[in-house]
Amino acid sequence: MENVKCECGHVNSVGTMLCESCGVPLSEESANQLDMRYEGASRRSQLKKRSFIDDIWSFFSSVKNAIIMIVLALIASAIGTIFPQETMIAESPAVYYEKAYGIFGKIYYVLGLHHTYSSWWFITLLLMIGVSLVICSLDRIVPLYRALKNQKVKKNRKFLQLQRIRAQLSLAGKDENDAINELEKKLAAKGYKVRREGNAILGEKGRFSRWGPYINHIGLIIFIIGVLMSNIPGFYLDKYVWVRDGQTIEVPGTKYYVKNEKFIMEFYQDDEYPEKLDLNGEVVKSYTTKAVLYENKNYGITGAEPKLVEVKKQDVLVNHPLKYKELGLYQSGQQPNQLGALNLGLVEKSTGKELGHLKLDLYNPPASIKINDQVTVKVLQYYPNFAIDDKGQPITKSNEPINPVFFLDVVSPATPKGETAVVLLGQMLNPGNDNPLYQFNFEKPDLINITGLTVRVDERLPVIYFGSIIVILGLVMGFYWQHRRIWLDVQEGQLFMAAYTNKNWFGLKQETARILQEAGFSIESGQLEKEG
Amino acid sequence: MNGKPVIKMVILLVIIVAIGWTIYSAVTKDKQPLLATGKPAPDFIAKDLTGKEYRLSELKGKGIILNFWGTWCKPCREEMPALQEMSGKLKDQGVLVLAVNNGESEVAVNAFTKQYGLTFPILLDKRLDIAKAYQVDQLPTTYFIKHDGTLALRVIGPLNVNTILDNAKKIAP
Repeated sequence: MENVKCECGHVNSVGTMLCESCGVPLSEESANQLDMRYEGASRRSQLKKRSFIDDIWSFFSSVKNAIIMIVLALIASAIGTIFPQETMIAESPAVYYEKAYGIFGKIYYVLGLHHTYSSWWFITLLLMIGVSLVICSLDRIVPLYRALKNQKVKKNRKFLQLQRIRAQLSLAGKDENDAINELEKKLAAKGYKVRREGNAILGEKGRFSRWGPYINHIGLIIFIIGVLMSNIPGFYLDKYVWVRDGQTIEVPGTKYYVKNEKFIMEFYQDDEYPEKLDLNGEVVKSYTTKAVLYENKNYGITGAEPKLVEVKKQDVLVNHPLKYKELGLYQSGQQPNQLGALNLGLVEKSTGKELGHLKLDLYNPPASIKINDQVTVKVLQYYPNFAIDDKGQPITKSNEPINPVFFLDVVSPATPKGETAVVLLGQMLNPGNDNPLYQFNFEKPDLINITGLTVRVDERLPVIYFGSIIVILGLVMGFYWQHRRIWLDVQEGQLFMAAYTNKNWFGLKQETARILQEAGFSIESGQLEKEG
Repeated sequence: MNGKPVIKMVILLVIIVAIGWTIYSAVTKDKQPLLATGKPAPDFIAKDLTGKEYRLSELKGKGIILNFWGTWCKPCREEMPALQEMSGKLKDQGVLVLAVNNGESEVAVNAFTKQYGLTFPILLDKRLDIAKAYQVDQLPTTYFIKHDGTLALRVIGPLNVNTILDNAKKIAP
């Protein structure tokens, strides 16, 4: 490893800009003003042979590369929004993109852009940004910390004369020691920590604010780790479940079941408004699901009947979720007044006599219903969402009872082979039979409510919050305070002064001028800064 | 950070391992390892329309064509005749066709079975437990299970007589 020996005798490693001991510039480039970044310490080792490790390290310690990666991530994120991602579409991706968006859709799909955010290259990019965060910080903070910790009080005159804020003032007859003591006192009075070595003084305050940016980067890394924790099984879940009144259903992705005992929508009454409004109870006051949470003790055994044990009972309202251990159920959506069951009356047409009633549960229709000792209604076919296909055949479009149609057979002594009727919503048909013996009358159907619950598990939050707090801490440290240093050296009846800060040069000039003035030197803040 | 290449190497190594693990777990997050080819097919219990109980593990020694379907799904309806035709032929070769219905009412499934004249076992999966265990998110999906109980392959989309025949060869005892 090649080193550079400074005129003061100290040996510096290659790449050092300013001597670690006396501060004198080691290269020819810093003719007018010193590059004070990281105190001039060498940040990258410049060995004759750079090993592979050094190359990787340099790649990640470069801010330019970090910015390039961030811009790439931004562009990739934007591209992921051109067409809906595959988690947002109901159909098979292989079919959907070309069907909906033509040739561009096909290209999108073939390139794998339909799962941009979970693709390996996108995640790798994000992680490389995370690595860059770590390495950039480490690469800079270590030399900076060392340099600030080991800095000497007495700096080479050239160092002082090349600073941005500097002055050379005549003592004008003052006693050297008195002048120095006076300067020390004035510095201390302004909160500076003062060190003295012979005729040289270093006053420093606010060094801790230099660590601010590194603290907030650590906070960001913690934040990112928190977000990545969603890959740990059991740490993150974001699902949705619709539950009908009275239904008990599995909470997707968990070992729990939830029952909706009743879903209630409450409306504001006329007397609840501050002014008279003619809204007639149309404004919703609250959505409530009376919910019961069960744990399935048979979880993990496929096909086995669930063995449910009640663990919690609660009214779930908007922003008042049911919380049990790591699980949260949030009141999210509602489908009130949906068809639950059709109620029909069976009438013998010739006599007009009503033989009985039948209930057809749209979610679980019976195979047959006994009306009385002689008459039975058989359910031949059930289409929850009736339609006719392109061949003219009856089919169902889905499993939801949106447009229910039943094919019923009335079996009686008069119709031993069954008389077929087709029951639609509010209508009935007897195909191929001009004189049916029986008729179905429509009575008021059973209406049910369906409540929509968001299912959430998020164990990452404490880590994410913690990371955020550290970020704020770092930002406050870095922005609210400044690191200020003032060097003073008395030689041959002259006072050499230099000052440096990481921000707020104007303030530092003011303060330096004030200190010098109070110590009996005549100088204005405007005279302190180097021109050009 | 100068010199001391050992420290740099250790730091980079730790980071690379952490990244490798993260990428791996992120990419494989949604796919459970259970359903890889060659792994044992998840066991299940299900009843058919007659009430007879079927347990997958008890059917070892036979090749199983496990078809997931629904009456509302057009390609499912279209492939039924092919399945019906092959179910008879393949029985002699020790391959069984089982069709798992995706959560519909018995009435609808019964009527459909009669309408299409299906004679092979139609299993009911009202709670969609079996569909979940087999990660079925599109219909029709068919799993070809070898006679030793391991998964041979999965086909998403409708089958025809030829694909059924070709794949049945792979799973027959």
